[in-house]
Formats: sequence, structure tokens, C-alpha cells
Amino acid sequence: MGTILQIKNITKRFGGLTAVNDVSFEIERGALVGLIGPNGAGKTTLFNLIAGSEKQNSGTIWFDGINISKFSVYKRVKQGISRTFQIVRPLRRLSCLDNVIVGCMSPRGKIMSADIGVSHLASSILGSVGLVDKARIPPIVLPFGDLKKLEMARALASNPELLLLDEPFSGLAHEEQMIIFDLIKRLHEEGYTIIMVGHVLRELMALVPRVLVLHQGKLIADGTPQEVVNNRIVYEAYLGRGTEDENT
Amino acid sequence: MAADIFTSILEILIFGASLALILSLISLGYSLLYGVGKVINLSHGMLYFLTGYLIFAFTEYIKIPYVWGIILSLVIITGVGVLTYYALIKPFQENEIMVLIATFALGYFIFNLVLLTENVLKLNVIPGLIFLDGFVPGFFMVFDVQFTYYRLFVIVMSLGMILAVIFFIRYSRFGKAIRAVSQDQDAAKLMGINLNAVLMFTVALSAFLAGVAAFLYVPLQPMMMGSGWDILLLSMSVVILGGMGSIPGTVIGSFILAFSVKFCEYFINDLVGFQISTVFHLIIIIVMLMIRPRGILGKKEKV
Amino acid sequence: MVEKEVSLVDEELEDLVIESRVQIKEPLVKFFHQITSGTKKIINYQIPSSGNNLKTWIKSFRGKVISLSMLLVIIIPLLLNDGAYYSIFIAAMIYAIFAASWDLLAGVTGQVSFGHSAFFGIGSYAFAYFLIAFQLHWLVAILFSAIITVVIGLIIAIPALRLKGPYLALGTMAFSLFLYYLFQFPELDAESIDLPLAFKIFRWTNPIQIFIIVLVFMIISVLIILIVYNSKLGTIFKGIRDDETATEASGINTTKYKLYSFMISSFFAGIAGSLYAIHLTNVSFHNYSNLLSFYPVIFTLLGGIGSISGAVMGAFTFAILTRVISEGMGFLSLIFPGLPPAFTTQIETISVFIFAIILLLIIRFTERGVMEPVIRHTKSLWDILLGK
Repeated sequence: MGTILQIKNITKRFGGLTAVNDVSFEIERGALVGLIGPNGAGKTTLFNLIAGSEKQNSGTIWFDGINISKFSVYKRVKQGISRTFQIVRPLRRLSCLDNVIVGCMSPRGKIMSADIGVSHLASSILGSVGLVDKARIPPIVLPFGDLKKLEMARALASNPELLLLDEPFSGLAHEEQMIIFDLIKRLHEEGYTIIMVGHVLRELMALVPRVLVLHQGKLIADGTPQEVVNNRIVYEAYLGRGTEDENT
Repeated sequence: MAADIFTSILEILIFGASLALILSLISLGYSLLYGVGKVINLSHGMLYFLTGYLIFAFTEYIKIPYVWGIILSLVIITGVGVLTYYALIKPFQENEIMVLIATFALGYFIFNLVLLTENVLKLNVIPGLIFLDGFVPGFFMVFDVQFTYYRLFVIVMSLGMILAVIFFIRYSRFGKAIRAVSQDQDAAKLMGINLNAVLMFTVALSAFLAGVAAFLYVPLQPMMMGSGWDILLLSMSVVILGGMGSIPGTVIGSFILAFSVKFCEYFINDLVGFQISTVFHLIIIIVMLMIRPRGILGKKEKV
Repeated sequence: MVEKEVSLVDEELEDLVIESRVQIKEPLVKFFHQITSGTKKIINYQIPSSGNNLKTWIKSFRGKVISLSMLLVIIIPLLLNDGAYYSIFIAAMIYAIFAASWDLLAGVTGQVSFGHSAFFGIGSYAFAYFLIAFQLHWLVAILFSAIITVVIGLIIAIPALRLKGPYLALGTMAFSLFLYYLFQFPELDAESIDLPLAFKIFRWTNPIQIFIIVLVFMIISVLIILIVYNSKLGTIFKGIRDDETATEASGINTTKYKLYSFMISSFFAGIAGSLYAIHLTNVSFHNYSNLLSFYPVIFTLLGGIGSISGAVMGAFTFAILTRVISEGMGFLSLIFPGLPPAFTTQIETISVFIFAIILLLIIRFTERGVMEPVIRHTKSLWDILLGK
């Protein structure tokens, strides 16, 4: 057990705009954490910083005791971080199976596939998200819900310890949301550490034991869903912003 | 010895200046097009080549007076620009690589068309140098060095043209539209700017400027077979040096390149034993792409 | 590089080794076993994603068309035994190797280079150099020149890999032009290098032997490239092409794999260059200009970019059509004696011109190459004929 992720005083500026402002927190191994906040609060930027596709202006990121602040994206994946994208990015001209195989060919993925072979591993990962019958089909023809599932399969393929899920529920119908919900619960039970960005507050609050709230780049709350919901600052942040969250 | 160096420096300055201004003219259109539409037009050099050839053909074969030949060629080349836009650039707005390939093919198309016309019509065997006569005769002396009035004319004309373009972009309404589109296409669209018109105009302007550069410069520097691709690479090197899409960058880049090439011609070539001046621009492209692809004044892009 | 497939081969080799130890030493038998098991593996090789293998491909219409045309290509020259015909097909096959190598880099891995003529030229010059200066056996010379091409390819690749899209295309174009001018410097005396006509095993001037050599090289080269294309390595290449960011996010070191692609591509381009030198018995920089970089673009757009077989088909179509054009021009000038001689002498110019037009049309109206629609239409025609 112990801390797997440490964010220390991370700041990211884009020109005049400070997207992430002196944010610090720690995540325990095996935790399931929600990251919420009004639109534009900096959630995806924070994810990008953790995953490595953006570089912070100041501050450090520690993963499993190692300072990964200067690591490239694939090097961080090699450490055990994996992420999904809010706007799904499948590899368009490859089949679903091939999409997952790419992840399995990463250093950690290859370790995981050492016994059963990459193709079989990829098939079983597709099976775990419920896409096995779509294995030979390219993403272009798939419905949106399946694309979201594929996105998760691809993130799992690189054998991560920490999963960063960017809006895994958005754009899905209720039944599909429940499928993803169950999947995330199962992954949590299997021991994955998961940070989830979400807008759908009701489901999120029911799922996660801990919530981080971001507003205008600052971390304004960190606690159980109950505590956060009753937090005055959070209340004002959402009220001041708009109505999109409560009614989604 | 000192006198030689002095004359060399003088020549470098004057020849370099005219070369720099011409390069600016040619590269301006090229850079603008990239800034506005993210389009790299690989047939750009061929536009120069085609204009030169058209003027030559009109004056030598069809015997039109020189001035009319120039005007006609400029009109034609602008038309080619517009056609290029509609046929090859507009359909591929999203796909940069296809535009590259398409304009690459267009460049070969134009080049071989010219070659074929020359050979099939058996007009004249081009080994091929194209000579044009400048129409400002006479020369003047500066410290024992001879310069033609025509060169002065070229310097003045190209400077004027460049300034005209700069003023147009800065102060006219359409110029503002061009600047808006080059900053943010989507925002410009939302503000009601007609993207189509702006892009088409930029392509036409780009072709026109290349044509002007051709009619100005060919009398000073005869065109050869390889000129088309050469010009393209020269403009590319200017633009990569100065920054894609930046007008001041283009001008600065062309001056740096022109003077460096002239300097090499006079002093460095003999030093190293080979014609480094002829490949200098290529070296610049390679080096710049390696150390700073966005150029001196270019905006920061994901290259 | 070819991950799981390699370990399978090792396993089978082990079996074979144990087997042959039990038998009386018969190296020929072992060799025979290797060939048959290898062939069986190739035929039954399953493409991971689509589940097809060679048998199903041949059964498909497209496979039949391609296989039939390849067979014709091999048989016709042998039947006609006319030097000129050998020449066309030899050139076609060399272009096919070149096309396949470019397609692997550009169509499959998404690294579009407009400077591939550099690798071709380096292959030729290196081959001539090894042959003349070191008196190496021609096979060894080909291999060495390919290796040199890879080394230089790496030198280009390492800086080039930081560039994306148009910048990569331009940078490679600048580099190949730079080399082109470099070779023109009189000090190097590289304008025209003739290869010794009689060398080691046979005379260069025998077209049948050259034909067979080039044929063998083409089959092996294209086969290897196809194997890479269908392997997991190829899957990674395609991933890089489709979305490099997403592929990197899956944990792949995209720079490393782009380097692999460059290496394989330049290797085979170098081989094509060497074979070309053999074909012409002469190496001259005039042949390795910018225009040559344009050729793979023509080939792949004709045949379909990104599918190695398309590039090969495009190369053949180009070579054959060029011949048709030149014959056509010759024919026309017979019919119309008043036609200017340019029609027969300017064949290359005319060909490039025509192909540029075709290319522009193709680019404008399709994106995946003409072969697919043509084959599809031919298939419908065929079905109609069969009364389906």
C-alpha cells in the first residue's frame, strides 16, 4: 500500500491564463478518486500534466516514489500510468483488436502478455470491456458507447497501475453508463488506482469514496462526497458557474 | 588587394540587395499562404518559371511588345493561382499532406508542359536558358564598379511592391481579414469573414507576386531548367529561416539568405573548394529544421 | 523486430535440430524440412487483425487478379525472349521494391518523405563503389550497399523524426537535393560510373539472368515488407500513422518505431538502387534527381497508398504504361509523319506529364488509388459475365 501519486505545487500557465494553480494532493495505491469542477476548471489540463502530454511550469509529480516531472508520455506509461481521452482517440484504420494490441506491445504490456501471447491478451482485454465480438471491426463503424469501451480497453492494454479516466461517462445513454460504472467498480476491486474526471455528479458521488474539486485551477475541496456536497465554497463555485452539471 | 575586397563588398551589397528584395517578393506570397491557410504550395517555384517562360514566349514567338507580354503573363499566372486554389487546395482543407502531394504533382505538370511545348512545337531548343531584356538601359559607375540602371529599377520596384503589400495587409479592410484568418480560422469564420474569398485572394496574390518577381529578375539572372525547383527551395529556405507566416520574418530571412549566398560566392567558395553558394539554402533548410523549425520570428506551433 | 513469429521459428528449429541428431546426418533433409515448414507457415500465417491468410487472399478476387498479373509478368518476358521486354519488367520490378519501401514508411507509418531518391542513389553509388573499389562479389556488394543506405538513413532519420507532416516532407526533399548537388561536385568525379561488364559468375549483359536475379530480389523484398506490414510491428506502424499521440499514450516509444520504419525502408530502397545500377551497368546522378522522389507518390496513388501490394501494382502499371506511351508515340509518328520528333524523343517528359495529369485527377477525385475501384468494377463485370 502507500502513496502512489504525489502532486506537489503544480502550476500550468497558457500565456496569460493559469489553468492549474499551485495544486497539491496525494493518492493512495488502490484508491478510487473523482475529480470534478465546473467547465474550464483545469481538470483535463491536470490530467495532461500527470500523463505527460503537457509540461508544468513549476512543481513536481511523483509516481511510486520516482520523480516523473520530466518524463515523456511513453516513459510515464512505462512507469504505470495510463489515460483515456475525453474525446476518444481510437486508431481509426485498425481493428479493435489491433487497437488493443498496440497497447499490449508497450514494455509493461509485453510483460503481461509473456505467457499467453499478445493476441490472446488483447482478446481477453476486449472481453473484459465487452467488445470481443467487435474484435475485427474498425472503430469507424462502431457506436459511441463501444468507442468509450475501446478507449478503456486501450488504457488497460499497457498494464497500468494508475488509470486516469477523462469523462468516461459523458455522451453515453443511461444503460451504457451503468456498464462503464460496473467496469470501473470491477477495476477498482482488482486493485487499480483510478482517478476519474466526471460531470455526472449523482453517479460519480455514488461510486467514489473521495472527491477532489477543482475551480479556476485551484483545488478547493478534498474529501468524501458528503463533505464536498455540503461544502460552501464548492456550492458557490457551481452556482456561480452555471446549471449544466445538476441536470446532465 | 584591398581594392578587390572593396569592389567585392560593394558588389555583394548591391547584388545582394536586389536578390534579397526579389526573394522577399517571391517568399512573401509563399509565407502568406502558409500563414493564412496552412498551405504549402510546392508549385510556387514553377509559377515563377512559368511566368518567365510565358513572357519569353510572348515576346519571342508571338512578337507582342514586351510590356504587353508582361501584363498578359501576370494575368495568366494569377489565373493559374486561382485555378490551383479551386482544383487542389480547397478540396483538401483538412489534409495537409494531400495538398503537398497535389501541388508537387502540379509543379511537375507545369514544368513538363513547358518542356513539351518547347519541344513539340519545335520553337526553340531550350538547353535552356531564358533571357529577357530589361527595359531600362544603361549603366552607372560606383567606384569603378559597373551597375546597370535596370538593377536599380528592380530594387526600387520590388521595394515598392513589398511595401504596397505590407500596407495593404496592415491598413485595408481585406488585409485585416487576412490577418484575422491567419490568427484563428474558426474565430474569423464566426465573425463573418468569407474564408473562401480570403484564401483564394491569398493564393492569387501569391501567384501574382511570384510573377512580378519573375519579370523583374529574369533579365538579371537568366532562368534555367532547374530554376523552378530552385526558386521553390530558395523561398522555402527564406520562410523556414524567417518564420512561416511572418511577414517581417520573411523579409529578414531573405536578406540574411541573399547576403550570405553572395558572401559565399565571393569569399567562401574558393576557400572550401566547391560551390557552397549553390547549396547554401539547402543547408539552411536542413539546419533550421533541426534546431528551430519555426524560424526566427515564427509562431510556436506543434511541428 | 518481428516479435512472436521469431520465437515460433526458434521452436521449430529446435525440433528440427533434435530430429536431425537422431537421424543419420542429412543436412539436405533438414534444409528441406525448413523450407516446407516455412512455406506452410507462410501459407497458414494468420494476420492477427483480419484473420485472413494466404489461402483466403488468393481465393478473393483481388488476390486472383494480383497473382495472375504477377504470374504474367514473370512468364511473358521468358516466353517472348526479347531484350526490350526484359528491360521493362526489370525496371518495373526495381520500381516495385522502391515503391514498397516508400509505402512502408509513408503509407503505413505515415512518415511521408519526398527525398526517397536519396536512398536509391546512395544504394547505387555504394554498390558501384564496393564492386569497383573492393572487388567484392556482387551479392555482397548489394548487401553492403543496403547497409550503408541504412546507416545514412539513420543519420537523416534522427533529426527528421522530430518533424511532422509537411516539415518532414520538405526536410527530406531538401536533404535529397543536397545530396544530388553534392554528387555533382567535379572533385567526386561521379557523373557516370560504368560497372565492369563481366564479373564473377556471369556477364551483366545477359538479360535473362538479370531478370531472374531482380525477380528473386523483388519477391524476397516485397515478401519481407509484407510480413512486416502484417506483423505486430506493422500494427504499431499503422498506429503511428493513424494517431501518433494516441499510440504514444498507449505506451509505445514512437520515435524508436519510426526509426525502425526508416531503417527497413531505406534498406530496401538501397537494394533497389543497387539492382538499378546492375540493370543500367552505369551509375549517374542524373538518374537520382527530385523526379525519382516523385515516382513512389505516383506508384502508390495509382495502386492505393498504405497497402504494400498497391504500391507494387502501381509501379508495374507505371512501367508498363510508360512503355505503352512510348510505343504509342512511335506508332503515331508512323501514321502522321509530320509529327515533330519530340514525340519519340521526349518520352520521359511526356510520360511524367501524362502521369502528373493522371495523378492530379486521381488526387482530385479519389483518395485511395485507382486500383480498388478498377478492381471492383472489373469484378462486377466478371460477375455479370458469369451470370450472377
